[in-house]
Amino acid sequence: MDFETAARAILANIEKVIDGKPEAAEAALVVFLAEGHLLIEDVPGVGKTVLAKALGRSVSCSVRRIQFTPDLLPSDITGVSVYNQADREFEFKPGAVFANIVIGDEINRASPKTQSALLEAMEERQVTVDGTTYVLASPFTVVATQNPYEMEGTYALPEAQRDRFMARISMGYPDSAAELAMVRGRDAENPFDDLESVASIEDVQAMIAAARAIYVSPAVEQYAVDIAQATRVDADLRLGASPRATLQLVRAAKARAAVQGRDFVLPDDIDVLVPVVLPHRLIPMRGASSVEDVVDRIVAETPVPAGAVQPS
Amino acid sequence: MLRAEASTQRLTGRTTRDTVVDHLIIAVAFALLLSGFRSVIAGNDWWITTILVATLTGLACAVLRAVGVRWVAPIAIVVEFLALAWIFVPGTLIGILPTFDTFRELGNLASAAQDIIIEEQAPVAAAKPVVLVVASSFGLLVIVADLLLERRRAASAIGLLLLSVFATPALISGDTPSVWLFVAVAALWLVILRSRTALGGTLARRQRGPAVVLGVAALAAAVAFPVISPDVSAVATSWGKPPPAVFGRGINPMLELGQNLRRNGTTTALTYTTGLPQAPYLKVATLRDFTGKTWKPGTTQQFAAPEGAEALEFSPDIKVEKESTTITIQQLRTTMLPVPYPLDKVSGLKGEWLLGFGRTMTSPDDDTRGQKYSVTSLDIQPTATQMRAISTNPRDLLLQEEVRLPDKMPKIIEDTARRVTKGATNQYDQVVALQDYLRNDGGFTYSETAPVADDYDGNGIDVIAKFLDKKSGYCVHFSSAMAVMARTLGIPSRIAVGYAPGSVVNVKDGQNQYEATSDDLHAWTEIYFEGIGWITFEPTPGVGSATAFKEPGAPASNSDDGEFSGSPRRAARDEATNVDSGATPTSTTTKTAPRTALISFMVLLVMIGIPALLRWSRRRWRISRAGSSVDPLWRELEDTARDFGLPFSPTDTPRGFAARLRTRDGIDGEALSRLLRRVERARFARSGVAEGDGVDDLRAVIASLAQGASRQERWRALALPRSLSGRRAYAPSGPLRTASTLG
Repeated sequence: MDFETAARAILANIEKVIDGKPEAAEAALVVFLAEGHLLIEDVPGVGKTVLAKALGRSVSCSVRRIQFTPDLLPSDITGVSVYNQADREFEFKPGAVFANIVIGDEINRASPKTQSALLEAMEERQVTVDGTTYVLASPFTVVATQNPYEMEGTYALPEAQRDRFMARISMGYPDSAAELAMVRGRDAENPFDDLESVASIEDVQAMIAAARAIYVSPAVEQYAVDIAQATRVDADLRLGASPRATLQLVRAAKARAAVQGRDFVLPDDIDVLVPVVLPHRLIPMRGASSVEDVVDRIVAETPVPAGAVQPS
Repeated sequence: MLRAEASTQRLTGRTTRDTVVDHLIIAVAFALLLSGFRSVIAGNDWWITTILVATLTGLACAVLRAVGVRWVAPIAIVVEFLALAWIFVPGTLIGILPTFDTFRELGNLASAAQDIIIEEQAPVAAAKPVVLVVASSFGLLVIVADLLLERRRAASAIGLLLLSVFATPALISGDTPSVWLFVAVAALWLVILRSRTALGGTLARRQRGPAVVLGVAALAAAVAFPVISPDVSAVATSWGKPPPAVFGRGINPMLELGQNLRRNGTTTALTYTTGLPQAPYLKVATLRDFTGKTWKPGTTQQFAAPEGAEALEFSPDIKVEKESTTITIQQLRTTMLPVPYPLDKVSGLKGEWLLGFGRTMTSPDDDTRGQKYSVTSLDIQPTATQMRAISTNPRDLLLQEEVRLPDKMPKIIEDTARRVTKGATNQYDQVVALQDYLRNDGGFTYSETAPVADDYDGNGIDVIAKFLDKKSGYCVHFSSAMAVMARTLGIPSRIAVGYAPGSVVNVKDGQNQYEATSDDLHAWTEIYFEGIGWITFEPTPGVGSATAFKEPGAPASNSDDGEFSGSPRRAARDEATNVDSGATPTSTTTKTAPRTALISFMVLLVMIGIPALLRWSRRRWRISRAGSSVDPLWRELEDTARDFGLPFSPTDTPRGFAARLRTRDGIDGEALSRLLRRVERARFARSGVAEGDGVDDLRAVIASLAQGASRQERWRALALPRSLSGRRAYAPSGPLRTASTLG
């Protein structure tokens, strides 16, 4: 199965359950194929979890969901070694993180210690418990959700942690037509019931490998770097994009190019992805406009290198 | 085979025959263009010499190309130099080798040519230096044309070359270039264009459009020529506004006169036959307003019909005869007609000529070139007795201008006048005394150079004073001195500028044929006598003859005063107001209708066309590079979009730009998509090579862009392409920009 067909099939599958949100679906798929992690920031009930689940089911991956609460312990995430009386040795009981897609609901409700356990697992792609290292599944993607409006009793993710997420999206409310369709279709039956997997885990692994191999021209690399640099000197930003952000931006752009059926990255891929890849890492100056606006402006002001050919 | 096939930059797929044909066509075109230079250079010999040099040079080019030598142009230049040396300074060559003398002599000729070009008015005599310049220029042009012919895309450059050669003689002489010449050369150029587009394949298809456009433009220009018929010299026709032009484009006719007289080389200005007993002065201009610094024509409406003092009204007892003079202009270009005074009637003139102040004829639009006309003038023969009886009162005759003097007068002028005329009791005797003093008795010598050497050249009041002291000068000084001295005595006077009686060169049909050359340029004095009019006096020694009327008792053939019975006044006046029906504007409109300068027109045409031409050639150039890279095509598209008002933005991705382009009406989306894919692949993919070159897609998109644009936008894009003004960054506007500033 070639990349583009598979990608289209997965997206079509997701859209069966999420109406009218193709961008969110694509962003989720891109992050998944780029081996990044996704932060969904939105109010409850807009389909954050559904999106993650639909993605997991479409690619026949294991999906585990953790509802973050203040009393959640790090070992609930990573797993714990339990002494097995019968075997007279410690036995590792894997935590919730041992799955291809891990959904962390309301991640900001857990204690910082628990959060960091997850975030370390995200970065390292492995878990070390009692001196033994356990490699996580591949592919491995954390889809964390956050409610931006209910701040009481939460532990907001520090900037350093947010940087670990490749992209942050918000679902947004469906438009009225999509909502109407959802009300009608979803009333009688659960669409998840007939959601079948359209790609095997091997397919997905092949796709991830293919996405890594997508060609990024020096011009586009330069463009990504230019944008990152621009965020660091912009008067409206207190904290600019990290080098990791640039790396993840390019990686995501490769995956997007692949999803779009191209074997090379366009500056347009960068343009599309910057608003989801960069803003959650940046901190605006006090009194400046929103980070999203600043990022849009930077994209609009950064010249696009024309490629290797000199101007005629 | 030819070297032409050696490189892709050169013409490929062409045979030796094609090349030879091209060269031949260019040769014919140059030969034709050379004929246009007849208005610049007199005679025919130069033509043959130039053809010889150009042919030798062209032959050298052809041979070198056929043999396959590398440095064709430098070698051809050497050949041309040797040819020039062989023709112009053969004595300095040893065999065919130039010596130091060769260079020196050619250098001398070149600097002499420079002088001629600076000093002389076209047409210049075909002197050796001039021919050298023309011949060497055409030789170089042949070399340039040869170089251009070798280039594949030089057809337009060749066209420009031909056009500039075509325009040159007109620029120099102000002559109207021949329409037929233009059409012929344009046709030859189209043949060249066609021979290059007939190569087949895409090249031919791509060149056909511009070829047709240029062809149509050339044809339109050719058709427009006769209508807007060109004349540079018409710029300076009016006496009323500076600079008045008498002999060319000078500033002051009086000063200019001296310069003309001092100039080396004589050209024949005109020839004439006359029925007058004596060869007449041919007046070109009349100057009556003496400001103290110079003589000027005066402020009265110049084209007004002559009245008052200018009317041909005579006392019935004065003998007046009418005689005809036929004048053929040879080498003279001015808007004022040389005519004998007093002019009665003119016939045979081409164009619109008006009788004006001083009874001279001027034309608002035409000039004297090529004119042959017949003038009826009056020969007034009063007796000395009659003249002595006349006492002119300038006040009664509205002749205040003619007696006006500057406020500050050097004493020597009036003193001299009084002293000289002491004893003369009437106006005639006074004037004759002044004339004789300057001409014979005063010890004056004629010199064209003394005033310049002693720094009193000119005709101001101080100059006259100095002249009376130094007693050396030329016609300007003599006539000016006499006129001013007459005025100090209250006698109306003025200066006439024109040609002194020429010399007899031929006898034809029993009539003397006279020739007036540039050496006959002259200024003399006219004095007014009430009841007779303006009488010519000649104060300059050695020129013409002194004016003196028949003394009583002297033997004379036609002294019968009663002969003039009837009413000569009436008859003369009627004729005077009705100069010649052949010269009225209405009957000659077809030929001379509203004229503007050809050169201004052509320069304007070229200037208007320059942006379009630059834009067009840039497009051509980019398309020509489409084979190796799609990038030029995309830049072309960006530029074209800019031409049509879609701003360029360096922050646009190709896709973003295409998206903006798609918002235009009628855009060819499919071609645009193909082109976009091509450019994206070229710029950002690992291997950018795609099939075809995308030129057709580019053309389709550009065509659809033009189609969707309004007529105004299309013209704007053609005539004033915005993309020529550099790549101006497009500032993002709207919410993005304001968001950050509003905070």
